[in-house]
Amino acid sequence: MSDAVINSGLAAYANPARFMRLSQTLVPFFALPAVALIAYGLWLSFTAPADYQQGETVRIMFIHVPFAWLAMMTYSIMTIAALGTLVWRHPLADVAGKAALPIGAAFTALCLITGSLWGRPTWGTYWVWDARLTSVLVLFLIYLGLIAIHRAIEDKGLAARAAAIVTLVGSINLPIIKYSVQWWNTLHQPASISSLKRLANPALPPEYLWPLFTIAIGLTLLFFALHLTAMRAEIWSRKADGLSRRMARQAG
Amino acid sequence: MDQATFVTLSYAISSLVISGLALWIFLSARNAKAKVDQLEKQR
Amino acid sequence: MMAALYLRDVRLGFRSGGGAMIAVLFFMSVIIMMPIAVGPDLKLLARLGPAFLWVGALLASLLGLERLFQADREDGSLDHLRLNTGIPELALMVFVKCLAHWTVTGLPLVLAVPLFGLFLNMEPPAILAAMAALAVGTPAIAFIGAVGAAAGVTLARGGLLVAIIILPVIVPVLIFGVSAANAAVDPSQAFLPPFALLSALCLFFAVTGPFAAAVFLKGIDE
Repeated sequence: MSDAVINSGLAAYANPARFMRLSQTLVPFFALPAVALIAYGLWLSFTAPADYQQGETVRIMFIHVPFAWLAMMTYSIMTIAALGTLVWRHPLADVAGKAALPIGAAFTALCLITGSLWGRPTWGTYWVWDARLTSVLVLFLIYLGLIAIHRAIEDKGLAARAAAIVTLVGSINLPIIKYSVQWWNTLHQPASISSLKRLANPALPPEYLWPLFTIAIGLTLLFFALHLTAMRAEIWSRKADGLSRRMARQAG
Repeated sequence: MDQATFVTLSYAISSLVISGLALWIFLSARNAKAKVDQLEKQR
Repeated sequence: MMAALYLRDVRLGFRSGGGAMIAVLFFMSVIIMMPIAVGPDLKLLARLGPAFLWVGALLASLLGLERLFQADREDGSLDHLRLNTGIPELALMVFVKCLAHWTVTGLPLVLAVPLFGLFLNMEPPAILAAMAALAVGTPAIAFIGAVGAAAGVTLARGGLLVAIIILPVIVPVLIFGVSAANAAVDPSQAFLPPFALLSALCLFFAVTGPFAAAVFLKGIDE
C-alpha cells in the first residue's frame, strides 16, 4: 500500500516541475493587473450615477454579477479538470480541481450574500425560493460537499477521482443556473448581458457596463492568480507529505 | 436601513472575504514551501 | 442477458423483505403526517398536495437505494463484474439494475398516487398530472441515486458522503416535478414545459448516473 502511495506522491511532484517554474512567473502577471483593475473598477462603480429606479443599490450589481459569472466559471474549470482526472489521469488535474474549490465556494457565497443584500431593498426580502437563487444555492452546496469529500477520503488520488465524478454529475446544475431565469418567470430579473450580440445594443448604459466589466475582468485575473497559487500550495504540501513518508520509511 | 447601508455592507463583506481568501491561500503556499525546504534540509 | 438480469433483480427486490411494501408504506406514512402537521384545511391541502406527494416519493425512493448493489456484493458477483467488465457494459448493467429497482420501489409509488391524492383532497386532473410527473421523475431519482449507492459499496469512508452530496442534484427534478404537478391545480401554470424539462433531466440522468456509478464500481480504487 505504502509503495502505491509513495509512487503517486512522486508522480504528483516529479511531473509538475515545469508547472512550478511556469506558474511562478505567471502569478505576478495575473495578480498585478487584477489588483489595478479591481481598484479602478471600484472607483468607477462609486462614481457611476445612481439609477433612477433602483437608486444607490444598483452599485451592488457591479460586484454581484461578476461573482455569479466567476462562480460558474470556476465550476466549468473544475469540470474540465475532472475530465483530466478521469480520462487522462493527470495529477495536475487532480490538483487543479481541488485548488479551485475554496475559491469557487467563496465566489458563490459572495454572489448569494450580495444578491440578498440587493434583494432586500429592491424586492423587500433577503431570500426567495426562486429558481435562480435555489440553483445557485445548490451550486454552493456542491462546492461544500466536494470540499468535504477531499477532507473525508485520506488517499489523495482516490479523493480526487471521487470528487471528479461528483463534479461531472453536478455540472448539470450549470445550464440550469444559466437558463433558470428564462425557464421560470419568477422574481429574479433576466440577464442584462445575455450574449455578444446583445452587447452591441445592451440593456445597460455604458456608465454601468464599464465598472461591471472592469471588475469582472479584474476578478477573473485574480481568480487565476489565486488558483495558480493554491495549486502551488497543494503541490508543495503533497511533496512535503511524500518526503516525510519516505524519510519515515528510511528511518524505520 | 437605507440603500447606502446595503451597498456599503455588500462591498465591505466582499472585500473582507476576498482579501481573507487571498491571504489564506498565500500563507498556505508559503507554509507548504517552508515545510518542503525544511524536510529537504533534514535529508 | 440484460433481460435475465432485470428479471433476477425484480424477483430479488420483491422477495427480499418486501422492498415495494416498505417503500409504499413509508410513502403513506409521510403523506398521512402531512395533513396532521398542516391542519385539516382541505383547500390548503389540495393546493399543497402535489408538493407533499413529491416530497414523500423522493424520500421513499431514496430509502431503498443503498440496497441497489448489496445483493451483488454479498454473493461476490460484484467483484467478478468489476474485474471482468468494461465501463460501458457495466454502465448498461447499472442502468438495467436501476430500472429493476424502479419497478420494485418507484412504480408502486406512482400507482399508489391516486389513493394518496384522495387523502390530500386533490382533484382527478391534479392526480393525473402528479402521476405523470412522478412516473418520469422517480426513475431520474433512481439513476442519480445509483451513483451514491456505487460510492457506498466501493469507498470505505466517504461513501455515505457521496450519497449525501449527490442529493442537491435532485433539486432540479423536484422543481420541475412539482411545477408540472401544480399545473393542474393552478391555471396560470403550463404543464408541458416543466414536464418536457423533467423528461430531459430523466434522460440526462439515465446516461450520466449509470455511467458515473460504473466509473465508481470499476476503477475508483485502483
